[in-house]
Amino acid sequence: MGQFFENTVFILRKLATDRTAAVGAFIIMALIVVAIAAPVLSTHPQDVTEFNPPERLQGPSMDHFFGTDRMGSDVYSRLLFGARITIAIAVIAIGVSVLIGVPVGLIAGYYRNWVSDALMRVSDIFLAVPQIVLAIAIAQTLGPSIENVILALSATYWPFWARLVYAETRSALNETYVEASIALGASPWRVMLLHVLPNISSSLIVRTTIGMGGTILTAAALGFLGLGPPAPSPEWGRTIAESREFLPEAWWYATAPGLAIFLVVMGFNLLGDGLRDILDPRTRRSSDG
Amino acid sequence: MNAPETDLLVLDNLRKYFPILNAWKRRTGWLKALDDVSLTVRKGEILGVVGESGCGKSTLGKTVMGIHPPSGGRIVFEGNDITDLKPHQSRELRRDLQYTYQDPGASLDPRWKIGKSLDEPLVIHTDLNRAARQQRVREILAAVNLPESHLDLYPHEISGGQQRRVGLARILTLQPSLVVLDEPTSGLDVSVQATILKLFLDLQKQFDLTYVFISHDLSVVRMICDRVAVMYLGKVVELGATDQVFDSPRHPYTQSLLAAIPQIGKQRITEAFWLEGEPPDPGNLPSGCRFRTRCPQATDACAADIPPLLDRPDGHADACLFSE
Amino acid sequence: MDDLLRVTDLEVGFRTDRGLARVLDHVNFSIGRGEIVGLVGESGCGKTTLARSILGVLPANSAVISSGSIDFDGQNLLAEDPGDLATDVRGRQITFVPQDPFSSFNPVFTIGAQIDELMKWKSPDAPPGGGLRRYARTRRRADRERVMDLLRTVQLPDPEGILKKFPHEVSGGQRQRLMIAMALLPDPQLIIADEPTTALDVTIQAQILKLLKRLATERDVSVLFTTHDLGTAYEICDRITVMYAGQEVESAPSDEFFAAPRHPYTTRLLHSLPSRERGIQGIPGQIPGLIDPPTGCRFHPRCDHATEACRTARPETADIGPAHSLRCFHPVELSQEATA
Repeated sequence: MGQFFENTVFILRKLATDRTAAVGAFIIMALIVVAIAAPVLSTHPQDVTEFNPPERLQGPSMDHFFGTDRMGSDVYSRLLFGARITIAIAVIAIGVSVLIGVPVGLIAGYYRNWVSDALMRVSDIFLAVPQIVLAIAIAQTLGPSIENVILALSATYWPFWARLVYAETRSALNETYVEASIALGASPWRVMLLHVLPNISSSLIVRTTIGMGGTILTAAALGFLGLGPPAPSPEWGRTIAESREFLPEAWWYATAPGLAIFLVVMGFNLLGDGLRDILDPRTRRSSDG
Repeated sequence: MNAPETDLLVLDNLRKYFPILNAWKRRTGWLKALDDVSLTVRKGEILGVVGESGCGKSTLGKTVMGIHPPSGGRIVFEGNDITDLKPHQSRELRRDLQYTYQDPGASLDPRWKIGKSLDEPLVIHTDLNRAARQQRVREILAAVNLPESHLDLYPHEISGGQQRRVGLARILTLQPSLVVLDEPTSGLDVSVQATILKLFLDLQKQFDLTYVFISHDLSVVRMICDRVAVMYLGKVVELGATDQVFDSPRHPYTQSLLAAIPQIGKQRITEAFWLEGEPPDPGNLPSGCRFRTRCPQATDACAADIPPLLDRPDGHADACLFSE
Repeated sequence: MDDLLRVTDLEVGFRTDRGLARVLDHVNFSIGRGEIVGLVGESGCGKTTLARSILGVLPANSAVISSGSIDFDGQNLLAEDPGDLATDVRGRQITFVPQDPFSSFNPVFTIGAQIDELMKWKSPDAPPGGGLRRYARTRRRADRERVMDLLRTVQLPDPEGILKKFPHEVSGGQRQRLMIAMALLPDPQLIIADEPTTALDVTIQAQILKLLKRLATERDVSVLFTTHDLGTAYEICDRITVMYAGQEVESAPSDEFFAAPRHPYTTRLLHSLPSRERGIQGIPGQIPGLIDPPTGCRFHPRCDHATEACRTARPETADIGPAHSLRCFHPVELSQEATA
């Protein structure tokens, strides 16, 4: 536990010195704060479920920072609540993918037998179909809802983690310290969980961070195609889809969620790149002074 | 199976062939890294295994350790045949039979503090509680002359020589009876090498160890080994007490190997070295004696059969047709 | 001075995350014409940095040269235009034999193609000042002739065949012979060989040392030979300079160096060599870090002879015999050495 704390402090300190990573981290922090504090920060929290047709399609003003939409709801407030959906989808979908992909990759990477081959062929099959097509097919079949978007995304994303962990495990097994542990008599589980996994965790974290961005994009695409949570959900992709018929006059309507998606995806990518540099174990010290 | 009491490890015609694969993963030949190697390691001795890269000395160590499964022959350790053990059986065996890597420092997990790395063998092999394990870890750290404060450092925070000490300490925590040292001094500066060698000897006395000392550095081998086996392309070509081998080498390969070592104050090899050519491709060995392509004494007889390693009356064995 | 190369008061540091690493501390060093000089020391002593400074290939973004000069054949290399150095000096008058001959070849071209490329720019017949001039057929023919000649001289079997091979198809010993041939092809005045035999087996090392010594002597080329192995230095060098933690401490003709060393570090280093007579002796303590090195003589924390003077200032270079120079306040007495 002490070590975990130490590592966290270490990473945060390094983050502060790396400008691009700090920008990424700031954007993501902001996203999380916004999602949690949406009811407080929003100017018209009731607009997520209630409509106000007389005020429809008004431009940005002091009352409506990003204008209003086709139902007269405040775009800004809906955007804040949309962040909650985005985070929920991304975190759960990635979480499930990691939970499936990492054990599959570890086992397939550690053993060199038919189980390993079988696991990797299954993930190959998933990877052979373009991801968005597979996600659309799954979401289409199951019907539009948040749960189904998460399911579709998890089903299409886990093979990436399986592949990554598989490749990293194979190369970690060639490291002397892993071979030495095996020679010492360590059991396969011990080697996988205590030596291999911690040492590949940095690339895993980097990949997961960047994967978050990708997942948010795909989720938005599904929402845009009407396969995401149904109306009146403030999901960003759905909002952009709704705004299409009012372009270019109601430019604020599409711009606000578009910018939000852009910023969040960029934030995850910047953070991921920064973490890649920071997490190199050889730069770490036991007592960073 | 009933080896005499003093023979700790017996290798009987041990073979390790690696398949040579072409671009389509079809086998096109065998790389005979170990070919009918028979050796005995006596309890309490330091047996040196010397030779140049590709001679099979590292394969020898790894095959004994079970890292490579042997292709033929037998390995008998403490009277038990350990040639074909199941994985869990060989894990048990590791307590008594340990292996150090060329760079024992590299055998430390970069994300683990030294203390945790030293604790690991005890966690795996013993039922000791935390306090007892920590006691053992501190003892072993003291035995390799490192301060206790090192327990809280990461491997990259200590010097290469200290990493080696830690690597060595790690395998000694289990108090093995035989340790295979694979090139333990390569890449070390001489001043550090000296302290490491001293440490090997101290630990040997302290823990009653037997070493198989694999090295390409003949001057080090001469310093610390009791007996020496000289290998060339998968074969032991000469075996005897260190003094016998170094003072009166019988095999022409051993002679050339010794002649190649720079000796300060003696005749310079740049004036006197006579061996020409390079070792043949290990995947495509010459018939008969494998050294005959470079040997100045080679005759037709050398090409006919592989000369066996013959024990001479003085206990100094060699595999040359022309030695006494 | 008839020295081919003279390094005076050279100070080089590397910028790191934790501050400036003082890798070379006001180093004096020289090589005579046709002389083979060994630069000996343990890892981190600065021998490779010194070799690279002479070659002019220090990493530009981190290396800081704060004082000193490198005079080579009448010109100060540190003052010259880097472009001129690249075309006319480096690779022509000063050539390089690396430690690892494998990574020095480009794996996707044949050895012949790489030697041709070298000769196009660096052959002794190539016009000075570089410039993208035509590679005339007559010159190309003369160069080919020269290449074949030299490949035979370095005793490569089947030189024509080897030119058609790729780097991975020849053995380590042959690659090092090729590197030596390539270093000699431009007819240089100085070859910098950076641990050229460390990666080789002893019998191959013996062959390569023999070859390098013979060629350097025959062609009257000076060689700067860096090594951590005193044995190889004994084999090949006319004179040996020892470095410790970025400071040169002693320089002496080879025989005298081994028979009558005067600096405490030199004697301890020689005693660390495995030997039956002396047993095993190391040097207590550790090599210091270069970010915050000891003041004065950097060896003083590990030295039996150290006094207050050693801690405050670094001794000046003193000549104590023909070609034998020393930087120590308390040299080891010869009688003491004999009994040690």
